[in-house]
Amino acid sequence: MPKLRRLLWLAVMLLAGPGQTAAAETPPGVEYLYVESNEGGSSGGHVALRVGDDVFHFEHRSPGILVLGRDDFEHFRYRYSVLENRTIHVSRLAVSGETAGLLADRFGRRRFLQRRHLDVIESLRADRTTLEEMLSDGIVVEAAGYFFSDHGRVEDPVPLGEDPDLADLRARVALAHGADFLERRMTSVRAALAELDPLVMDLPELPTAEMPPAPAYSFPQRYRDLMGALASLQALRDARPLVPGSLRPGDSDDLAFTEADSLAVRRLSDALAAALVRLVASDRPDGGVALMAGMARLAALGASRRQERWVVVDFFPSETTPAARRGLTMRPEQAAVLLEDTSEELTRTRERLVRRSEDGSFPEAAFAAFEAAVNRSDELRLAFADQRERRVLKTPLVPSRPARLGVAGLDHQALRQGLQAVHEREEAYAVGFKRRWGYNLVTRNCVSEVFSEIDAAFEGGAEEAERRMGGRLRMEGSFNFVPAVSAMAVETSYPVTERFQLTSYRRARVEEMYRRENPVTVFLRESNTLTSAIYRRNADDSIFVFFTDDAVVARPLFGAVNLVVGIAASAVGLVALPVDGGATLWAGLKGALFSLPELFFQNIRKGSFEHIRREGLPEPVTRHEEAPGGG
Amino acid sequence: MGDRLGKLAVRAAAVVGLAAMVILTQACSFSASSRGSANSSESSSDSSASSSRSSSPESAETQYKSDVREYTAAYTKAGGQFDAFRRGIGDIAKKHNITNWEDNPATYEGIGEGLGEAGATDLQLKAYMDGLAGQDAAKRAAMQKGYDAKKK
Repeated sequence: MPKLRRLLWLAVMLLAGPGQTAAAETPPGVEYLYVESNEGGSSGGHVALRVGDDVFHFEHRSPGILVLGRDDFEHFRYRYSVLENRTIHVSRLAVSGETAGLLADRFGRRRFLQRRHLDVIESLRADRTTLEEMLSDGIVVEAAGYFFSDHGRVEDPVPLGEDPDLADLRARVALAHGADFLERRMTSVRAALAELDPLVMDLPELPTAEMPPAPAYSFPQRYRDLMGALASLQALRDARPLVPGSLRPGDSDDLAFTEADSLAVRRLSDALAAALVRLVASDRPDGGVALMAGMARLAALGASRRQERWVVVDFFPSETTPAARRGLTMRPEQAAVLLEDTSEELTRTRERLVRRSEDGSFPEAAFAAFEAAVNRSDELRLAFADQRERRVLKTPLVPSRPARLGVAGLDHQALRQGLQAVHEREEAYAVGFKRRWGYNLVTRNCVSEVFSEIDAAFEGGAEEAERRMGGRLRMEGSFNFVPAVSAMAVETSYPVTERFQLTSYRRARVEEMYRRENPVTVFLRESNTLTSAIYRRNADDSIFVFFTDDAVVARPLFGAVNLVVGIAASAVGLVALPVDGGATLWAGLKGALFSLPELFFQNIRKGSFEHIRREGLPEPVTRHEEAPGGG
Repeated sequence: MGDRLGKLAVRAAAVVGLAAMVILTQACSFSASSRGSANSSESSSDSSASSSRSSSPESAETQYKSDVREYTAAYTKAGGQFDAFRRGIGDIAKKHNITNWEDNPATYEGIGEGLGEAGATDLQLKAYMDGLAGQDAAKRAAMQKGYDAKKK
């Protein structure tokens, strides 16, 4: 009997039938979250553990690894139930505050450990790139692109004129640290560069199971940092003007100064200059890049003062460097919403910056948020005006436009040896990581790792976990590794105090419409992608006609139409292959493939959203579900 | 006729089975931010698909301080070169959109908390203060505050 109830409950979850609605609550505690499947990235569903406001979940990443992420609950819900349009099933577990704390500690430690190892892999990759660059007598220096032209040299002659704000900064540095400070500093950096030995690589040690790696400071890193220091000192000594194209012009009338802005910019310039005077004398290893970023900002503030409107450093790569792009696939009203949202973000960050400028110190985080907002807004405006794809900002949001600067007199043989060593260490590190945290569909996936970490959270292991949690979910010899099955098993294995679902965005909107409009009209209009008022095809989505997640009876019929459309689109895609690079073919094939389960009354949700305004989102619709037999 | 129907049924079942296999192999979320990269630092930031955990400035500062605390505690236990430690602080700060971490009080409070959490002695705390805060009273006080808050 319990098996039958389990099966019935699983069917209910897969078919996502209707239920009662109520306002959402966000109480603290521990919840098991099951996110319904969606085409593409997560067709088997996804799971997470919410502890307080933190949501921990294991994501499958390239190249075949499983990485623990942490999001705050609102961000998680927005990403999965709004943008990805997937219903989240919540099972609230009865555990004590102490147990919840131990779980949070364990998941936090695991996340930190993985992130540290991933950082090492990333630094080894950067080291390899640096050595390859050095072998071709050039090195990419972060943030140098604002002061030096690509493929130039640090010693290249100064362009005509000086930047007035950097000239002022140079004078302040001379006053604080001595007239010959910059020359002395440059001499010492050159000496440090000459002393670096490429035969001593100082690479990070290979990973051990449960210990975070000790920080390492490798030869390529040191070389990059010293080149950054040299470039920054040279730029300051020469008060180099910014390379053309380094600033976002701020043509928009919205950015014209108010009285408060004028005052804020003067305060910010002064505070930033004071901070840079301290920074230039610091012996921190990576200070050069920070100094160049700060000097670019100082020059931008000077330009703002002169133009009496906000001008910021351009965060995007120079025109010659490719950047991630997002297509213009959204409908005009969605585009208008995005523009409006960006404009609101601009206003909000500007007001915050003006307020924070009163502190007397340079509020870097608030300044970066404002810079990013101006960059996004300007990029969006230009992209829509030119009918081109908009570029997407990369994190972190700091001025970092790079330039490749020439280097000479390097020992190529030693560099080649070093490159070989870095390459071997990088491979060994990646293999070690994958051995420890590689993804496996059955034995190590987002479900198995959650429960393995729960067991590991307590000193007494699985036994204590069972006692504290009131139950335990076993993976061995079961189908509990399947996300939907695990959600069902949680119901019967743990004392669940409450169960509900947070409906997907489209379903929530459609239900709103049903309440306000004629149901037949709503069904006819919203059942398909051609007439839907809510959905417009997202570039990442497959090609399909009918939504089947809320059409249980008609699902096979709608699925058959979707299948035919997917196959037809694939045929068209085959012809269009040379033109669109296979985008239509792939979307058609995906559409056909994910329509197959619909023929058998199953649904893998289709359709996602590129942008939905966070503000003004309808309250999450919470459907309470009856537990089938669990606690 | 019956044979043909049988073969068709077998083929249909094979197609469905194959589809199910393909579908199942995609279980668990595949992080879009990591496509082509194993590191989240490659993720993009966009107003419509922000990868940041939270947008509130207070929360961002708390997260930065927490990352510095975890990193410091781990370094205190694992050891390593001091300039490598400082370089690591710079990397963490950058992920939080901070370049001038030496001027940010949250850095010092986070380091103090990490030392406290790792069970560092007062003597070790003083050594870190001398190495990182110098004679700056505000920075030293921030480190002490963090240390006292987490001292075991």
